[in-house]
Amino acid sequence: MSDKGIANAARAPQQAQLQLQTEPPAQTQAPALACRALSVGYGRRTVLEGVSLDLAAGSWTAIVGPNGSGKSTLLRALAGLLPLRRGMVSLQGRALGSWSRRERARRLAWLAQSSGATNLTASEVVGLGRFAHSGWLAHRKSEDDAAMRRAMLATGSLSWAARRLSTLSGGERQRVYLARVLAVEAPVLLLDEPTTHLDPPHQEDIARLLRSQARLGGVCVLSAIHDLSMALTADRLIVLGSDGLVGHGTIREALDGDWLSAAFRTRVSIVEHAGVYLWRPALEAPSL
Amino acid sequence: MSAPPASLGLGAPGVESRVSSPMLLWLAGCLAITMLLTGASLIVGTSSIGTSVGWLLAPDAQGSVILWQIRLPRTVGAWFAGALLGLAGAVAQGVFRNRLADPYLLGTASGAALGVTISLLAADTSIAGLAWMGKIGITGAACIGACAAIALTIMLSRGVLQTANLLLAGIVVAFLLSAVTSLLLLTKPEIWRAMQVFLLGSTGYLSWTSATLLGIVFCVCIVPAALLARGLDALSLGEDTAQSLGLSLPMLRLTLLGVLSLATATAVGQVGIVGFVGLVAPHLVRETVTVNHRQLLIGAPLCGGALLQAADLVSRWIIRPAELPVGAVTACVGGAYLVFLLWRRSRDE
Amino acid sequence: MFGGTRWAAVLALGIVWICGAQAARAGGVNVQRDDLQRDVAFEREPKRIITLLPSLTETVCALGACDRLVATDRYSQWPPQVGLLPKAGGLDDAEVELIVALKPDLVLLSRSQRIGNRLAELGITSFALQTDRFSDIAHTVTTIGAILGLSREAAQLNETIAASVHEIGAQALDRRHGSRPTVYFEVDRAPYAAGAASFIGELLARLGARNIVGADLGAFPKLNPEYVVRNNPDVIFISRADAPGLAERPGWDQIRAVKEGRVCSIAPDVNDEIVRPGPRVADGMRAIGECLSRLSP
Repeated sequence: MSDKGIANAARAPQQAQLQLQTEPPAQTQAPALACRALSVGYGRRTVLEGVSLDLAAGSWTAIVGPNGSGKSTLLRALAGLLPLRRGMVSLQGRALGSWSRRERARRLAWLAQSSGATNLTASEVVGLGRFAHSGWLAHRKSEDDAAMRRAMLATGSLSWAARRLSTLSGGERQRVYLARVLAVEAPVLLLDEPTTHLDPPHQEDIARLLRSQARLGGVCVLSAIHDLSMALTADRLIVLGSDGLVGHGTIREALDGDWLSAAFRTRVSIVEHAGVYLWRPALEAPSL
Repeated sequence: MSAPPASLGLGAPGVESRVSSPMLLWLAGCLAITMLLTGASLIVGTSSIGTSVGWLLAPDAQGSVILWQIRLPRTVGAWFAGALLGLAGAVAQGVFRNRLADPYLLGTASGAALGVTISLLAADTSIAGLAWMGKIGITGAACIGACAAIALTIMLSRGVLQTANLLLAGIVVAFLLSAVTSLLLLTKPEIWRAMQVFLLGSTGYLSWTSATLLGIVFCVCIVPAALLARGLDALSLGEDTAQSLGLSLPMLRLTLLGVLSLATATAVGQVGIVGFVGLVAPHLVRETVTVNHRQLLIGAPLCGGALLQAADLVSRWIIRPAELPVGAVTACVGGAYLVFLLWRRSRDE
Repeated sequence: MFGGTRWAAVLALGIVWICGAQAARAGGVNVQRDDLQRDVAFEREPKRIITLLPSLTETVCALGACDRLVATDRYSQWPPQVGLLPKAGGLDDAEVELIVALKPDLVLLSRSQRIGNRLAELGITSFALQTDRFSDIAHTVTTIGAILGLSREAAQLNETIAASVHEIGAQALDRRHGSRPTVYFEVDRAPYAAGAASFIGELLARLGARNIVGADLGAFPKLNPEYVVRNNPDVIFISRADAPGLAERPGWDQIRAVKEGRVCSIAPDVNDEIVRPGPRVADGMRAIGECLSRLSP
């Protein structure tokens, strides 16, 4: 099967669901991921201060903002990879620190913006996603195998399972990393620039994948995306500006409040076309 | 390694695993080469008397002393020392995520050299020093010196959490201890020759005691290393990613650095400072077979053992009955291999 | 009257002739060739001498010219009076400033000491002498004697040395009733051995011992330890520090010398005498010979 074929196969069942839903599903329990009065920084520099967010299961939230506004920092703080100056993060109702390392790893999967150079095969990388489940000895049960297979099918990377990462192109490698994250089968997914290196058709596939994870899988997906059009296909937005959090809410709320223009400090014009929101670059002279 | 290959994380689900058979071939090959080298070591010695198979099977009294008390423990000890160095090199390259890491990057070589210098000086200067030296010997002094250097490095870098700090501290400690060694040598230049022998490595006096010690330490080191190998795989994806997968980085680093220290200190104590084995063995394994760290941490010791065995053989044979320092042989071979790598790189560009 | 003047004239002429002859001889320049193949000219006998090697110090003193020394290297310990002289550094790090300040007529050093060039630039005469082998001792003594104008003393010293060496050798052989034991002389624990081609090897040969390391292996070869086991020497010479560990070396407890306790351990100061050939060679040889005769089977 070529990967085009896999992609087509993955695309078909979701075709029916490709309408815009601006309302996230109702929250009936504790938010999947939340933070209160979060304050983080590096060294002397404080990047974010006093941020409070609720992220529900079954929705896809995109973080947008100019460079240096703290998208990656927020993600890392929520993943527990950055020590907090102040505030707390809770995962499925409990404080992040109260989960054991293994439990946390099973419930929260993280995709880094750039991964280290490695010479493992694709299937081994994806297999590492099952680390929290299968442990040090890598004794794989059938559910591990099944999870890996599902993940690789969904990202269209099954055909190069036995190839070493160094022999793959940037886009192919990115899909292997995504498969690794999906293989964890965690209820919370944190992704830093998941569509890096991918060409537009594959970016679409990933967007579709994230939506179906959220809608069908009930996963809480949070991703930092710098491509505005891609970000606008999510359910909710977190908009960060150079002064901190500008707003957090549905796309509609974001557009009504013109959060994007405030965050980027310049006129950002969004248009709706055929049920999809698009960013229209202003090629004439600018500003507020 | 009794579990079937699938449980080692090899091969994708549903995809034929082609990786395990090269590894098995490699293991078989290494073992075969080791057997061959052991046999050759029994035959090669100081003169032509030992080369006939008949002598090998039915040696006279002196011949059997030479065979079983000198040649066999020497080659077995050399194998274990090489295996320890190969393992330490593979662990160092994994923990520091740098293909050019070798076992001595925490300052162990300089520490061992300083230990030996102090013990030689003490023996020459006073009777008390002589008695103390007699008790622990050069091997003990080298081992203690190596461990002291590692402790100093970890203290300087304030813990094992930051690999960059560790590397830097290792370099500083190496320079510092080398300088102290040089200063001490100036006071008594006569021990230079003994120091040179140590610095270039020597397998000459490996007895059954040494070989057994090396063997025990090898078993103690390889078990935790093989168990933690998957953690190194995760670490190769990045520290954040590894942490998010549920890996405890401090525990991993501490344990593996402990393995590295024990393996290197023991090997250096017994055979002196033998370079390149720890660097080249993991490279050779990576070139020919492997991918993941479990294979590497098992293949590298096997390769290292065979390498040092071969080097010991060459050092004894080439100018017999005189002997080359084994470190000089490994330096030549290792250097040639690195030159070959460079050439291949430039050819590929 | 005329007869008295004639005799006075002849006497005066005679005196003038003798003085002239002396003057003529003193005015002739003494040229010696050193071991770096340089021809060094001495217009006068050197009166202020600095030596940078213990064996050269000992040679100068053995010729009776100890009072001409103004400084030595820091390792020169014999004869005791040189201990009072200023020390001009070690074998590789001689102090140039001190040497220049003392204004010597001559600096005696070995071939490998690089300070010779530096001194030449500063206008100080230096003379290189290398004493590695037994035969070099006589050559060094003769040359230094020629430089210092003590050629007669030099010839005497050489004779004395040769005679005592010969006598010690004969005595040693005699005491052992003519037996010639096999010997292994270890210079370093690696093991580095003193072969038949080394100075120590020559001393052992003169004592009538047979070296298990032949001349074909070089002066100080690094051996395979197995070689010693195989050749099973009767007597082993080893430094005091390494002697206790002999039996622990694998297979060495089978060696005759180790089994029967025929091991001569050499103290560090005796080691100095043996390792650096000089006029006290007979003393070093006596020390080895005594032990050899005592422990010989």
